[in-house]
Amino acid sequence: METLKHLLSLLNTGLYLKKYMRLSLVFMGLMTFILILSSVTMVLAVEAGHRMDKKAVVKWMLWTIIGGFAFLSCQAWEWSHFISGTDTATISDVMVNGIWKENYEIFGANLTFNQYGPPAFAALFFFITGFHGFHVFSGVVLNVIIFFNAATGVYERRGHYEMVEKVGLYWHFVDLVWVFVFTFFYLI
Amino acid sequence: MEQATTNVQVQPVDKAKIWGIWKVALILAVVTGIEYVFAFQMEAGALRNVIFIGLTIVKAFYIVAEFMHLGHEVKGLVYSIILPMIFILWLIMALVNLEGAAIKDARGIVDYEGDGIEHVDEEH
Repeated sequence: METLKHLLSLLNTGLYLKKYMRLSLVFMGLMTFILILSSVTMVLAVEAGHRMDKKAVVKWMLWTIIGGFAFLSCQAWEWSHFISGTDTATISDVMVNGIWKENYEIFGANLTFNQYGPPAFAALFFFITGFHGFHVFSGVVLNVIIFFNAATGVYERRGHYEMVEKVGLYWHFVDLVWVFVFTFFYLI
Repeated sequence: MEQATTNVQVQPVDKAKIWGIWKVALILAVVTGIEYVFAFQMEAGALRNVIFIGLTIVKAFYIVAEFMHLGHEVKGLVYSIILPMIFILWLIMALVNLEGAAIKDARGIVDYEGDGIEHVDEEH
């Protein structure tokens, strides 16, 4: 279990939020709740589809799309803060383009440097949240397509709203992944 | 050709069903709230990690069982999805542990120190 322990302690040391931006952890909670709420509105859209209630499907799909966009906006805000860093730099001895530099000023984080903790944390953070964000984005695109189809009556003519349910499963999965990302990157 | 439905009957809302959906949302919010209490009130460490992962699995259960309606499917389907997933999880953890250790050794990566870990000078 040695390496798993190492990984957990990496995630813990990398908790820049706790040390420097405690308010940001609360912000992350809000973001998490926005995604959970958009999952709820998706369930409500699926439920309305079972009842053949076109108006309700369109209404709840719209809320789901808004939730998805809100989540992506929150993530953009968070990324830009994490990347640009604080006003005062962290001084550290680092390797820059293969040359060892002492007392180097680091602002923010990217795939190579991390002002707040181990660079490996920043790399892993951008890799995982980036892929998740991309999944949310493609989910929003799918939701928009479903929204238009529902609004123009495609599914009403078809006689069932099964596509809402299928895309709903994708959307819930993205939410499910975020629940784990949130735990491992923000809480631990 | 797609079959066209001419007259659509909108069925009435089942209040109990809607309340059930919001109840799951409430549970998820409460569990997240509990996680925050631990995040702010408890020192980092193995026990806190276990609590976080446990609460995450609780949340995952509600999302999969209710939102993805796996809890309302037949037992056979539930097990055919959950059991392989447990083996895959085992595989991933084993790979991270074994292959990760090899990479860690080969690259000479030193251990990171967690927030809750303090160094005690044993000689004094």
